[in-house]
Amino acid sequence: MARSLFEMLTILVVDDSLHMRRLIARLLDVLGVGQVIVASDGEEAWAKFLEHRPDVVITDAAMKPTDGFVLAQRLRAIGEDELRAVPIIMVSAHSELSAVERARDSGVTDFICKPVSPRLLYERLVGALNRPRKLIETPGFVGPDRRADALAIDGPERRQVTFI
Amino acid sequence: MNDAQTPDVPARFLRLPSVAERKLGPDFTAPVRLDPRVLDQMQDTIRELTVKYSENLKVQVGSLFSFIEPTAAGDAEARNQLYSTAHEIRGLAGTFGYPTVGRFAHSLCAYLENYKSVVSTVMRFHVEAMYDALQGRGADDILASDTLASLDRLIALSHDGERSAG
Repeated sequence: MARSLFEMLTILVVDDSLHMRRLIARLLDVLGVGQVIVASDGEEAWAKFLEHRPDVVITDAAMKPTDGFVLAQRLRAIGEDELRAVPIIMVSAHSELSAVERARDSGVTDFICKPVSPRLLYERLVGALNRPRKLIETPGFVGPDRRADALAIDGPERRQVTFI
Repeated sequence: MNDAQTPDVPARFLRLPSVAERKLGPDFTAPVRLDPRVLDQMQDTIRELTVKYSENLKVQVGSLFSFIEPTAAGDAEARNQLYSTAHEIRGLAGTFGYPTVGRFAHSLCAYLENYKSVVSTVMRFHVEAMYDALQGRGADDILASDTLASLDRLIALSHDGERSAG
């Protein structure tokens, strides 16, 4: 069942490292992702995003001339709701708090610190696919709604509260 | 801040179904657990790519040596090259089975990020540590931690009294 979902996906992978692009693209191939588009910086990614309208964007942070933060901001500023709400997973070797905060402020959905492991990549991807896409738009910010009530937890693992 | 002090910020909330629901209908969710067979295939893929990456890593680490002296002399282009190569190594080496090389690359990046004026000895020791780890020398976790601690002391000694740029 999951395989059929992955077959329907188009994922855009953005990284200036050929090895990282190749690695993530191949791992997504193994997962059965229908179409993997690659780009080597934010500028190329922007053009390919508009052309292919991917379901998920997986992007590096530091790239030239256009980095992943600027790319995320541009994606969140698109006029069409369906496109603007695309899940953006940032994969970066910058593990400092400032980088994570900058990613959050740029509207990134999730953040993975390199080195990447297959399990981590899968978990973050599935999280991005399963989570309802809730955005909040204010004059200074467009990005995922991170309020606690926005993180709906349903199903058997939801903690039950009993009043006695 | 209480409610009376909270400024009115116009906000719009956009709620769209998940990608999984949009593709396969209401209430569909992708399985959270990764099939172990698929995980094995993914690990095999990494092993397959490691052969090509290892060759590239040797070339990259070797190239770092040539940027050290120009960087110490203040050559901005050499410094950019040194940083970007080390940055790529820190991001990739761990995935491809060279975590120690990645740790030394991370330390070198942090040094370049934190100090405007950099010393060739510090950079050379970092690159030599990466080179040795690549050859299988000093790749042991405890030894690598000791080496990193030594590199930290070397940085402190080399920049005694100097404030870091970061």
